[in-house]
Amino acid sequence: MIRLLQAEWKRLWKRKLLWAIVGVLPVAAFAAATYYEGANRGVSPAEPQYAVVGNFPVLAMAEMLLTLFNLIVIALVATLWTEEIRSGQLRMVLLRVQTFSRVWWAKVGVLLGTVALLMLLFFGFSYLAGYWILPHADAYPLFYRAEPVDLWEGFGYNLQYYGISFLTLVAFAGFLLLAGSMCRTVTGTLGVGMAFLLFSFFYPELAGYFRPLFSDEQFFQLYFSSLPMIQWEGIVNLLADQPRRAGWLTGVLAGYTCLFGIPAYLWFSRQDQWN
Amino acid sequence: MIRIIRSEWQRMWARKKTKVLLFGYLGLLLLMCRFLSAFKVSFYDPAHDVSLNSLNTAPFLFRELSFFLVFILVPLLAVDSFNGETRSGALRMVLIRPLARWRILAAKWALQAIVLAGLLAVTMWTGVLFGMWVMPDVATTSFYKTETFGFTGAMGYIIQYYSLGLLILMTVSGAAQLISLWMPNAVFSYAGVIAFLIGGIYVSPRMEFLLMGSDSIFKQLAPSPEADFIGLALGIVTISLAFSFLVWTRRDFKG
Repeated sequence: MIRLLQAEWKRLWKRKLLWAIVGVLPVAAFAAATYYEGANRGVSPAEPQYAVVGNFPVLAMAEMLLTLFNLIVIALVATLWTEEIRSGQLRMVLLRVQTFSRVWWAKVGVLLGTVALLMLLFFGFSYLAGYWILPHADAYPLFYRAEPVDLWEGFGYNLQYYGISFLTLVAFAGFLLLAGSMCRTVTGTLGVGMAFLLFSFFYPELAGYFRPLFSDEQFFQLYFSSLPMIQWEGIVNLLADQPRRAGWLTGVLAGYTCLFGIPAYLWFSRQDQWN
Repeated sequence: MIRIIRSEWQRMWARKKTKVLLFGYLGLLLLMCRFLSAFKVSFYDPAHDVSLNSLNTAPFLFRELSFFLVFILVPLLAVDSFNGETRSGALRMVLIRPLARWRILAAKWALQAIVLAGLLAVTMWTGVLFGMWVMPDVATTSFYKTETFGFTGAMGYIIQYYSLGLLILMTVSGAAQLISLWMPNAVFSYAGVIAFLIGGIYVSPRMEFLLMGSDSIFKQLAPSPEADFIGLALGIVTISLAFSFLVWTRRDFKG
């Protein structure tokens, strides 16, 4: 299994795509930093939106999680699953004594490891970008928290934020795995992934128009049944002093992961990938 | 030439994705009609709302659907037509025949243009007829900062609006074709198209017309235009066609 993981890992990192993504990360961090430097002029330093070195990794991630990281996950799934089946690379693996399910788990391990590594890189780059560009503050306020935090406590908060962000990406990957196993083409996988994101942005907006029809509880549940909305507003809510309905948010994440991930696994391991 | 276009056409429909995309688009179109008829209100831009009537409804269908077109449908059609065919080997079968390379490329361009124009024509007429049937009847209407139009004037405005919409889609399509010729990997090219769409805003606010298509068209068609993207869009189209031509005629498709 270790060998299989190594093989998958090497095959993925051999691609130009991965190095292009790694090259984009610092650019994205610095672009976000310059953007927040401009946005700071309209915000008082007592607001949690005011970007300083300590909270910038979270603000940058909130910007990039919805766009860049979701796209990265789509690209990785399309590459690891669909592309390899299409181009016949998977056959080379299966010439050895390996089962589909072991290959699948190796791929999942490599996918999650890669996403985690890219997030860590971004974490580092955003601290660097913040250190160079943004103001330095010894203590700063956080969203939904009464007490301001210093740099060290803030570091712990940032790590938690990145951890939950990672879980949202895992949930999204679960959906993509099913799409990628069922769509036999790369463009199909990309399109389904994008369509899922756009649709998930769109229906909470739409529900906003029908607000009077729902109770607050129902509206909250509907709004946060959408993965991008959890990424957008749910994570800070989970990390608040008093998280509201944390059970629902974690339940939705787990639901996405299992409801789509398990059929994806069954599909991939039962289906004949040779044709 | 007609035959080459027909062969492109057949190959396009042979892909199941094309059917899913185009029928999915028609489904969304009906959904949007349902949506607009429920509210009878739409927006020129985030600051100006407008109540819909029998003459001014058509542009707002494009407004609601432009995201799907620009982010999913147009890039996927272009990427499939170039990357997908190279990868699946379908392109070789075409290149085996003694045809000039540029003709095949011209056929691909023509087909993209025909499909997009067809889609927008369907959208426009759906909007016009739907407005007349469902929305409150009026004799005159006005659009964003324009004078009051009668029926013919409103139709003229709608046709201009949709022509500019077609220009925006062709810009996206041209860029997508060039990117997919450059990058043989479909994942790469699709990400490249999205980066072009979103990254453009960081380069210059004038590139907003790709994302905020409808808002830009309304501003462009106002009596004293507040936006001017026609020249820029034509420039991008021309540049991407010229470069695609250079890449296409020199490329070795045997690899």
